Amino acid sequence: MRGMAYQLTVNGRAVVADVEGDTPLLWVLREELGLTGTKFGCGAALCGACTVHVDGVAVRSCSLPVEGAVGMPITTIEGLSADRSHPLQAAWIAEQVPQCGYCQSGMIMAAAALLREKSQPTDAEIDEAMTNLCRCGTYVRVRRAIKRAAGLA
Amino acid sequence: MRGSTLDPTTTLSRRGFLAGTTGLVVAITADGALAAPGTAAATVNGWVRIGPDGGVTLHSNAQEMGQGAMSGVAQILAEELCLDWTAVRVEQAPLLPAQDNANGGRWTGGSASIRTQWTSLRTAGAACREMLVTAGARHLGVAAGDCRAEDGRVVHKDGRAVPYAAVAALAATLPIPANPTPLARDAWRLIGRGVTRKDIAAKVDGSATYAIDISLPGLLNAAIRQSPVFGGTLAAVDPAPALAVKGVRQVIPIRGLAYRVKEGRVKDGATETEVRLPDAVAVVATTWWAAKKGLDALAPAWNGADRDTLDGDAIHGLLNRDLDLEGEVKLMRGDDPTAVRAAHERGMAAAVRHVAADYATPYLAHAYMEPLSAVAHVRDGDSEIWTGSQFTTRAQAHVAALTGQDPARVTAHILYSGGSFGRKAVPDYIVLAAHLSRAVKAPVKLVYDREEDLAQGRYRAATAARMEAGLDARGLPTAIRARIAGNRDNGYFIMVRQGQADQPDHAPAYFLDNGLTTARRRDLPVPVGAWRAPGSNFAAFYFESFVDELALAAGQDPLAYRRRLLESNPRARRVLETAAARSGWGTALPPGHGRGVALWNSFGSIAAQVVEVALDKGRLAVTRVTCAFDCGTAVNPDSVRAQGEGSILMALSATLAEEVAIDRGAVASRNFDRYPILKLAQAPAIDITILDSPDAPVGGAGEPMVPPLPAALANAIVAAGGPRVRQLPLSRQGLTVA
Ligand code: FES
Ligand code: FES
Repeated sequence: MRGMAYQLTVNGRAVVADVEGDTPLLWVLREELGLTGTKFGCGAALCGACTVHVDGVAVRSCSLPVEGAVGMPITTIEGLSADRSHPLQAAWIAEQVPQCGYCQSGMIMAAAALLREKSQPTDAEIDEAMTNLCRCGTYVRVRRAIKRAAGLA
Repeated sequence: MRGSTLDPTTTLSRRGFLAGTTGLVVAITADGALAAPGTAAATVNGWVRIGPDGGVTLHSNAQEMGQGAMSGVAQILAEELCLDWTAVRVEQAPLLPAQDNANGGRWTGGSASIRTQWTSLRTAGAACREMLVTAGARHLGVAAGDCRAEDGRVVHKDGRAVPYAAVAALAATLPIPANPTPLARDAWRLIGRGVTRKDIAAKVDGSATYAIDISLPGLLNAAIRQSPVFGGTLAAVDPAPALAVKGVRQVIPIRGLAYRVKEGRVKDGATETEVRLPDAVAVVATTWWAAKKGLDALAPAWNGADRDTLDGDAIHGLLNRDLDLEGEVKLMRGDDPTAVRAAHERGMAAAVRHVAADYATPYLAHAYMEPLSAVAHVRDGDSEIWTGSQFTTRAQAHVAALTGQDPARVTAHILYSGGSFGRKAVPDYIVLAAHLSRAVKAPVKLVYDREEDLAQGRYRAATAARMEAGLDARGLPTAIRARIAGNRDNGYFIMVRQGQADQPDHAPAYFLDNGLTTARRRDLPVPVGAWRAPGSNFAAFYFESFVDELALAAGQDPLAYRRRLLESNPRARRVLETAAARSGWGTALPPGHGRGVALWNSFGSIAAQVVEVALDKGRLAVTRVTCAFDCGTAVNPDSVRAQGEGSILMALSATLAEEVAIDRGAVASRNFDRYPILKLAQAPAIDITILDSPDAPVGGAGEPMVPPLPAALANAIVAAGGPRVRQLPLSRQGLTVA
């Protein structure tokens, strides 16, 4: 595969990544753009640590080749808000959700995509949308924080 | 695991208060050998730094890996110093130069950060506060006895006040109080309150930095594949396919990498051991993705055919066979094995009936979300490492042993760890990063892919147990025996308490007579190590499942039965009764539902849990877990609660479906598809009650809520009309997990 310059829009900024087309978006974000808030957990779309928004949809960036993200707005945890002011971030702090924190960027991005689609999600909808893995066991608080951000708690 | 970074025996004579250039610096060292005031070492290693601008920074020696101890340690200091928590900065303390393995080292585990440092932190904080008050009084020209500390200021009774910053330099020149007085319990404003953890904000915006996130000028990245077969060797590897990948610099075969290192404290008799790392192939590249792509392109050939019959069932068979053989009697200090055996046999002979059951638990992986990652830069005369290690000074010592450098020449940068649960106390991955850095003469970041991480664990050992008891006419035990068979290196313990004197930790809460624990160890090639609540995480399953079997054999309610066994342990009985009451024990449930209970004593704390399940034609749903927990004093109850939630969910995950699959001598469960960990949708409602025991020693919180869960769940399945499960995980016992 030949390397080429891919034009991307990340967190509202136009950037160029000179990589091979099969490079997963995750590694472009982390290694080319220095956006290390998005994490590597499994590399196989199984854990969600790498979740970002592509065109407003939660995507597991370890499994999306960069060429598939061209022309669509990409948002990472760093772009969710400038100052932790997104309602989910505020709720995450209020509920003291993170433990080790490693899964939390992906968790918050998955929750943000959920709330964009369903502003008042039911428990079943939260169950269905939040398939990210957290080994520290923050799930109880993740659920509470989503409801708090949605104004349900 | 035991111990911590600050030696629990630290006393006032071992503390120093150092005048730094930026104000008052308090340094607490574990060995008493203090750096001279004003030296660089003194200023960077202070625990309390009061800057001239009034900013207070507290250094915490607890490695933050999710458990909240970095904040908890600082919270105790902030309390004694009467600081405004919201204005305090908390950082991971850098290593003290004298803080090496010889005097305890820097490590975090054993749920020890708070409980072993409780007294020393309060005393040190109190000494510092008293010096500030004395200095403040002098500054104000009043008597120290008329002043108090409040929100970072020294306040006179007439209302005049001076900030700490203005008197910190003066305070630093004062003698250290000989007998500082920690604050009385009723004066606490922070301890016992769920204050905001200091690491949380950076964990909601992606700015928290882990080893995997480090970037340095000239940094190269490495991916690695170690022999998939335990003990296998590298036969051959053709580097060409990796070298063809853009960005790949080198393919590095690793064969026979070994070094000798001193482990353990000098005072406990440090021993030199040889460490051998598995053969491996590493690919070094400009980016990790290129390294990974290069690695995946290789087809290394491994020798290791001699192991190729080893699989999980074979191991299970071996352990089961060992149960028929006599084991070594596990003793508490001062016990005579012949007397212990004789008492047990007398107890068994006095029984009117006997009950026995065999149990087994599998190998478990830690499966934290940050795969093993480390950065190392080995130079000619010195080295640097960047890690979220659970045992930083051990990593430092091992890198020094590998490179032939003095440990003091290995600088360790301490980062958050993305979970550890025991695994990251073993420094193999950090040593490999150093080896690669030395080979390519550049800083190297080594990141395991998930497959490698799960294949190169230090797993929770698989064990098997046979439990035996004699019951008297009332159905109460006259003697209990636990036979355990397991992998080598696995910390065995006294599982059955013998009488009431000198009760061990990590044991049932009951005081039972005529107990006997015997163990057999077998050398198996699967590497094992500490996994959250080591020993207790399987022992409690065996013991508390068996206690349920005894209760049912005696025709008694499992809760009532345990209450009787706890007659002489009111503290544990209160914990049990609290969990039972909050769970609604005894109230009616729909058909197919059931409640199970278990309790366990570990890390100086007592935890009781009631699990409620719904069982429908072999389909299992865990609907609710009620936990009562007594750790003496909870410094941050919200953090303790979070540890409870995490412990319950991790133990639930393991009990439901986790098992390291071993096939032909290698791990087959190499990603989350084959090693499924619990998802949010499976998480039950959790209700945790924290009980205070103000007169009891402070206990740990990160692990003791793990052990009761597996047995409480297995007991609930029986109560719901399901089978008695004696072998985990449940998914292998014909139960589908909802
Ligand atoms: S790293 Fe992408 S889903 Fe796990
Ligand atoms: S907070 Fe540690 S994995 Fe989720």
